[in-house]
Amino acid sequence: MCFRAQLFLFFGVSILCLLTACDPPDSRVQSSPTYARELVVYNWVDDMPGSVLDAFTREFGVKIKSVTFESQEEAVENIRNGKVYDVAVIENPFVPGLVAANRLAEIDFRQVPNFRNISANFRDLATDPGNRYTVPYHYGTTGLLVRTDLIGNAVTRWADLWDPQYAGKIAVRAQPRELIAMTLLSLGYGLNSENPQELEAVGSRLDQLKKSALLVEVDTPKAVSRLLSGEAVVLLGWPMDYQAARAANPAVAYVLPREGTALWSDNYVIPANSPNASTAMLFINFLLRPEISAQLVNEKHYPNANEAAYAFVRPEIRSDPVITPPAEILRRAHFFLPLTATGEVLYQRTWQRFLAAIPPSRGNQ
Amino acid sequence: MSLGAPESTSPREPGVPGGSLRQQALTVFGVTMLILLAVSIAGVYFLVHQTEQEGWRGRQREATQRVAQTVGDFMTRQQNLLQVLNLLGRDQPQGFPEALERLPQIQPVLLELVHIDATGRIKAHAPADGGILANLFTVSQSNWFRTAQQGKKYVGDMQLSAADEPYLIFSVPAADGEVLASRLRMDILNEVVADLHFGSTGIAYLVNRNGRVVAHTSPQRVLSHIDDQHPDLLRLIRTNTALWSGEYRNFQGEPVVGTMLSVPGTPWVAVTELSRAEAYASTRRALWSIAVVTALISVVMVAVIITLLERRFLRPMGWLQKGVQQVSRGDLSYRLDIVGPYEINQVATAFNDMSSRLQEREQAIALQTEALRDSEARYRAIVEDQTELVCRSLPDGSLTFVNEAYCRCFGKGREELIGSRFSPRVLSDDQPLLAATRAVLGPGNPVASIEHRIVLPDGAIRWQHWTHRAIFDVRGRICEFASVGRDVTERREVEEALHQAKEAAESANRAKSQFLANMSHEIRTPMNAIIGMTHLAMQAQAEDKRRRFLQTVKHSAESLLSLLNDILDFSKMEAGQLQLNSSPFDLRQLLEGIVSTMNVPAIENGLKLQISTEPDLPAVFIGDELRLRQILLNLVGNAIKFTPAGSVTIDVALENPSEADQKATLHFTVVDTGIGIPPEKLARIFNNFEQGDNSYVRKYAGTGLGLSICKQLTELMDGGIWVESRMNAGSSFHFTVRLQPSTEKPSAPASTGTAGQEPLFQGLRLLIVDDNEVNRDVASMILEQDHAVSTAGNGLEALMLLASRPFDAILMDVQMPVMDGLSATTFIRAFERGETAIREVPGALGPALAERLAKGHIPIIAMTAHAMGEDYAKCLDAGMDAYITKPFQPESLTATLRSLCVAGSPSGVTGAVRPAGDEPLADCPLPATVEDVVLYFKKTTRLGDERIANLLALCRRSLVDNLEKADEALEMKNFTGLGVAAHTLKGTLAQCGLAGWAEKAQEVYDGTKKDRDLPYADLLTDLRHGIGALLEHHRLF
Repeated sequence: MCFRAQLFLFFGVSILCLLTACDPPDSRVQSSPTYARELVVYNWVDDMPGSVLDAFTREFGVKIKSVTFESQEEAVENIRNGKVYDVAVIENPFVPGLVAANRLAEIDFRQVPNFRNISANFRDLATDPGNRYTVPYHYGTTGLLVRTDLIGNAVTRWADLWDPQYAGKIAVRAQPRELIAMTLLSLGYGLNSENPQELEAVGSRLDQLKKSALLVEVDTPKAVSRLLSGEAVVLLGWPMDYQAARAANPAVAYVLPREGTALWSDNYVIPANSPNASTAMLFINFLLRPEISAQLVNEKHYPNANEAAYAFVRPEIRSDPVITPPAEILRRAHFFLPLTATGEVLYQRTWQRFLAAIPPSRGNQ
Repeated sequence: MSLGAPESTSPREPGVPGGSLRQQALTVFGVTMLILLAVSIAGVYFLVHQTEQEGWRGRQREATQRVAQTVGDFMTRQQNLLQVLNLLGRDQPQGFPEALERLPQIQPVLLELVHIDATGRIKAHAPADGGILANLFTVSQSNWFRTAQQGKKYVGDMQLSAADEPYLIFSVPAADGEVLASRLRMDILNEVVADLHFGSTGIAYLVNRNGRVVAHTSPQRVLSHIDDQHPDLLRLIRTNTALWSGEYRNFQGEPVVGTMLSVPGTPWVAVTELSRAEAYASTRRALWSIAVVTALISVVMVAVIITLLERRFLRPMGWLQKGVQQVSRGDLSYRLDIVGPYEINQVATAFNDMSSRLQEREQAIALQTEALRDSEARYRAIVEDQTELVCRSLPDGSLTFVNEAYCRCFGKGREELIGSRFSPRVLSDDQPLLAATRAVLGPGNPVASIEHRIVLPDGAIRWQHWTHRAIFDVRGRICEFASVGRDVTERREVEEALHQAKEAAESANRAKSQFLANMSHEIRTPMNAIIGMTHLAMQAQAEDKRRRFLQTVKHSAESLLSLLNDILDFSKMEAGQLQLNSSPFDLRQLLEGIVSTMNVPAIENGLKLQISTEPDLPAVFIGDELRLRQILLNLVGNAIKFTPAGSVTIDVALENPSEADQKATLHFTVVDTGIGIPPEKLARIFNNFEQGDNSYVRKYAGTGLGLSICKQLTELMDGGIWVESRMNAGSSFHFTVRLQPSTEKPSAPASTGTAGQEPLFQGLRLLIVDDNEVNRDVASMILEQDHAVSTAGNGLEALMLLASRPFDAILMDVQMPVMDGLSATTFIRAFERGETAIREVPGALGPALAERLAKGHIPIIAMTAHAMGEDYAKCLDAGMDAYITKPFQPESLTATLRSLCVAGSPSGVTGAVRPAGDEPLADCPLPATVEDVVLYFKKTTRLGDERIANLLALCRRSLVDNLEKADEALEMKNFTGLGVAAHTLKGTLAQCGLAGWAEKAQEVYDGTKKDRDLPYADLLTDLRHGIGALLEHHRLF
């Protein structure tokens, strides 16, 4: 019996066990990325071209389900009510409210490296310090589309909308903030005024507008068709409307009124209740690719917050002052700012008053 | 090694570490040393580790604080620069832009400087060719502007431009709501952190609160946004605000020891990391050293201990073991010689003592063994010489002992048997018994006996009686069986024979008892009738009553005789004594004979009996005609008995057409339309004393032996019998017999062959309808000689008979109760004309009559006592064809019949047959004498004496009955009943040729009819006196 050998073996194994116990084995797990099968994108009607969405689906195998809203107020309401979307498009002034209500998910910028393409103009703005919840999308002005072939170049101001000679031929959309802001500007007040007296004046002025205005759809082709048919001679609209109208009738002009224009800016956000936040960030990062952002510009004619995209934007669009207004004009533009809670109530009351006013003789809303 | 025997015999108890002392010692020492080793290693590891960890943590904190300090200082300097600028700007409003413009050139870290007014417009900027901040159109919206405007310093997070240039925005409030802002290069921070080294692998970097690397020893890390390998980073920087140290995995996934600290005045966190391998290098080295040293010490100590154990203890144990082995091998003289410690010496001495004592005992045992052997040999001789088989076996079946007889019995040698598992081959039927016997053996019941059969090697089966005794060991388990057996075949055989004989005797006795019980019942029933009727007959005064009783006695006696015949046949067959004749016979004649015999009861039951045979059936067979007839009569008789309506058919078929000299199988079938047999009875019907139902015994007489006899007879004739039956639909009895066809003529021709010249006239089917029994009987007796005669008591009965079978002619009385002759005739003629919807015909008869009579013309002859023209006309009106007057003469009757049935058209016959009497009888009739009546009968009927006697008896009975009835009716003032009786009396008297007395009866009848108040009692007395001789004569017989 070789008991000495046994002894050595016994001790040897025991010591080895002790030593190896000090060094636990490497238990790293490499997980392959798994994406959601479908993303719900909540956006303006007809905002994002199908070609872009298809490209994303092709590349990542994630289907995009588009859900649309007609106004920012509607979108905010739905997100606040807990409806589930994965990516939503929200304008700057509405962001702080949603953040305060814990309705937005914080964006992990390590997953959105293309954020580096965003212009410094849209970084770290007051509505979302440090861009914790938003990724800038695009921006633009609000102006007036005018049938110069019908009424010449007479319209240059917001106040002209109340000119009785155009009564019944002023087309506007039911966008509360925009209409109130435009009325404030026409009265010479600040765009984001929360002064009750000023808003009172806005209310009565909007009553007048309701009588002479034509409420049209948000959808660009439908709204523009009213203008093109001559049913309306002026349309309160956006560069995309202008591009569509201009293509059909070169006599349509886009006027940035003298009182100052309104500058709006849209952001991508991820609602806090989205179950697919990671895939949503993938989608946002995809949209921030220069060539993809350029495609958005090329197809929808809104200036994009993506600086790197401009190398891929068609020159005629890049040089079109309506689409990409010069910085001088933009500096003069007024920004929509978030409203305080009091302001919110006042605006809402003003809007309710407008809705309750006698409807236009030929409305269709 | 083994100190005692238990080592080899008793199993080791589980749980106790068996084996050598040496192994146990090794285990105990080894485990102790191991525990010591582990504890010391753990202690040393813990101490060294703590120390090292503390050391590195301190160094790391120091480094981290240095990073934070350096970065914080850098940032403060930049802010201070802006503050200075601001102050400068206040003091020298004109010189400010120049100062601005110069600054970026002096300070390479400054990328850009801007001065912005309260509305967000840029007042001045450097460098002059502009930069990012100078070209912004969202200044008024930007966080840095608004923060500074609110009077606070702003330090932005790191921004990465599209050109991957990291920068940072600083802003401070200036006078009048104006703002001063600068944009700084961030890559300079990379250099700051890169300068900080500690250890060989220590690095430092800055991250912001979003987990983005702001500055790193390797600048690429700053540009790379995605750091999938640093899963802990974001969590750690979010959760730890103050100084933190710990272990985690770094960007490369390697385990590191890291420290984190917020950089004051910035949104950043300074991180230093050192690879764990380096951090704990000393710990590991110390661990290895300790482990090796303690292991060596342990091994040496264990080795020393084991060696001592071996030398001082285990070796003497080995000698002791060797001594025990020697003793156990039988070397009792072996002695130990051990020099060692005191305890060992003690053991050695004890061992030597034990060996000496064992040696002494061994010698004593040898002597005892010798004595035992002698004794055993003596007993063995006894066992060996036994004729009984003796053996002993172990529970597993192997034999340990067999005696001579055992070996002889199974034809095997002793050597062959002992140790083998031989056991006698027990017949498989007896094996369960054997197993049961074995199973009952136990300490409380050690002996069991059993008798069973075994198969000897030569194949012979023998009975053996075995006594098994189980022998138990001290624990009560069976350790051996001792068995003694002997051959008991002869005794068993005798017992078996005795048993069988007893069984047979008992069975025969039972059969006899049952037979007697059955027979006594069968015999008692008619016997009762005979005794009862005889008793009544002896007491009865009236001749006719007595006659009726005797008639019953006769029937009973006949049935007794038939029963006795059956019993005789049966017992013969039981005894096997019944011999069959073998002679040629004509099958057809046999069948016809059966029909003619059974036709009477068949017709009585209103059944049609018919034969159906194959046309090519051979005529003559050789066999026992009598027995065949017996079978057929039995079956046909049964069929008639159990068939209330319909037909019975005998069908004969040849089953296998016979070749020359071969027996043919004849298949007989008797089909009836009767009540059928219940299925559950079918199987038993051919058993002795069985009928279809016990209740049938009451309804239908019979011994119940008939079918059993038929069965046995058919079996005797190489055939069989069986039955098919459906309840209420009829039964078919089949039987087969094997007979040899023959061309031989039967020895005795059965047929008398009375082929008359007028076959049509002979064998007419006649129906006699008369309410007067005497008249009916006279007519039928006359006509039965040549014709088949049926009778009916009134018109309705006649119609019922007509409905059931065909007739060639009807003799119809005119005046009858229930339905008179005229009405019956009217119905018959109406049916013949096809007027089916006739009222008053009992429902069931209508269709049958219509079918039977349609489009035919059945001759109807009126029978009347009144030869008055008026009656005659009435009869012809009703549709009758002719009439005869009563009492009628055979000649006139046959003449009329012939004229009607043979002449074809009956319509032509209108003549009346007048009574043959020359002149009417005297008005005042003379008293009647028997001789006169007999003479008259002889004259009119031409019957034999015997028949005339019968006729006379019939008349007498009728007269007596009706006189009694008349008396009774008169007493009850029942004139209708009196009239009926008088009418019958008149008819009977007329038939007897006593016309004068008949008129007296007629007078009574007429009186009752016309409600006349006549002295009926006197008239009846006259009548009774007048025919008194006739009545008295009766008594003389």
